[in-house]
Amino acid sequence: MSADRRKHLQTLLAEHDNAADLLRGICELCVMELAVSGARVRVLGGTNADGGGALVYSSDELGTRLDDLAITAGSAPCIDAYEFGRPVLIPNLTADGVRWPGFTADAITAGAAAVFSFPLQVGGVRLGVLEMHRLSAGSLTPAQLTDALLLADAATETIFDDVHAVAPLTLSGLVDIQAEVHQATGMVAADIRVSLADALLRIRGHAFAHHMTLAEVAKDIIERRLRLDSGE
Amino acid sequence: MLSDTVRSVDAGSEGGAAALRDQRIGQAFVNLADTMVADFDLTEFLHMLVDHCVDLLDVDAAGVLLSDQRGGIRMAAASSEKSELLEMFAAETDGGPCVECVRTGEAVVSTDLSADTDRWPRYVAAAEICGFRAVHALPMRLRRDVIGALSLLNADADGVRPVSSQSQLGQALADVATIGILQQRTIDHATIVTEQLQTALNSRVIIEQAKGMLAAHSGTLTPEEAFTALRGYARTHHHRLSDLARQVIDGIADVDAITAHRTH
Repeated sequence: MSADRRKHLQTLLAEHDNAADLLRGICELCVMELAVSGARVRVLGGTNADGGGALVYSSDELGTRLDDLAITAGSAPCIDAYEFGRPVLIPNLTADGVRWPGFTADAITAGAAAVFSFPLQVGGVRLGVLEMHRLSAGSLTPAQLTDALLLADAATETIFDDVHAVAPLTLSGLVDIQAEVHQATGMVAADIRVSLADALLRIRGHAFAHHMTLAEVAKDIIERRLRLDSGE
Repeated sequence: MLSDTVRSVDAGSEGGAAALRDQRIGQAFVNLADTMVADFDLTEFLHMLVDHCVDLLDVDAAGVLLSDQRGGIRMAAASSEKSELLEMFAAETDGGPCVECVRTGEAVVSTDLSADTDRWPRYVAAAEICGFRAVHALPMRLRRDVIGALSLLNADADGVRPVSSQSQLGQALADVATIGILQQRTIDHATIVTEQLQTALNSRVIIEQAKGMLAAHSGTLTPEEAFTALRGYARTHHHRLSDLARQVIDGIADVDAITAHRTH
């Protein structure tokens, strides 16, 4: 069922051929399919939430306002989602008044009643967040949650592809990659002292350049037949 | 089956062994029911579950697969390298008894995998390479919510014994774990379960990345050997596996001490 949903959502996104359009398309799909009033994508950099980043797209003014509040307060659902690597689902902001003292009251005043933040990351490769909001309180249904996770996967892949511009946009299942690829990512990162994101980029670049699959490159790295040097 | 297991416990008289085992079973249930702690960590909890299974049941290994809430299935915990490889293979190829168990929410049993080659050709071949001949896959389910499956693996084909007290105790452990995970003290049960499942799945990716970093740092260890060292070090020093893995990828762990760790 969810595999069909994934295909369905990918089909709807297939018309977009650049990252900015794709991220806008993902946010618009959130609004159409998930009964939320707005969605936005924020890219965050470094290990601290305030270490750089940008609001890439916001489907409405309230989203832009919530983003501003979150970054100003430095403590908000989207920042927790990024820091802790898990969705932060707040179906009723009013009932959750104490967790983010600098954010919640202003968010409610601005008109938000519920927020759902999804981290955009692959393990230690942390890229940003996809956050949706509602004007009235209420949880995501299981079907909406599945869609939200699938759209967050698509956003993760879009940002990774765009930031690293290594290969054409593929939505190639970055978040479905096998354990060996994650292990190889760690090996390359430690070996040539680059970030996990850079390591994954190099593995993908090598696979692309040599017409190999990610899994094949990963196996060669793990078995120490291949060493990606820092210039590759 | 229960009596076989009791006899295998070496603790003096049979009565003493049975009492000791009862005590350990009781302790396992207490541990698995204790999910109300503030810093509950699902990855750690699932590792405890598989360790209890190996300790209490007459099985060689145990593993847990979780639904990823978007149509896929992921390996979440395993008691040994071999069982981890097999569970990972099952999750990635989306086949085999454990995957069927998650999909259907029903127990799937093969007491002799060599007889099920037609049903799961790839899984059976992988199981053989990993050294397993029998599997009991038990659903982690509460009413309609199936969050995953607990697999019990044996190196020997264990004959025709589809319903045994072993699998009943295994199911009871899976049930108490599932109830523990699903019945958090929260107003929004679906919210907390989602947050925990997704955290556990992401932790798993971080653990894989940390294995690779440790392997590269050591210069000689395979990722699986690095994992054994990582897990042993976490236990010895009372760190949670997921926390330690995150410290490794963040570059703030003592990687020399971890890769030098040897389990006995």
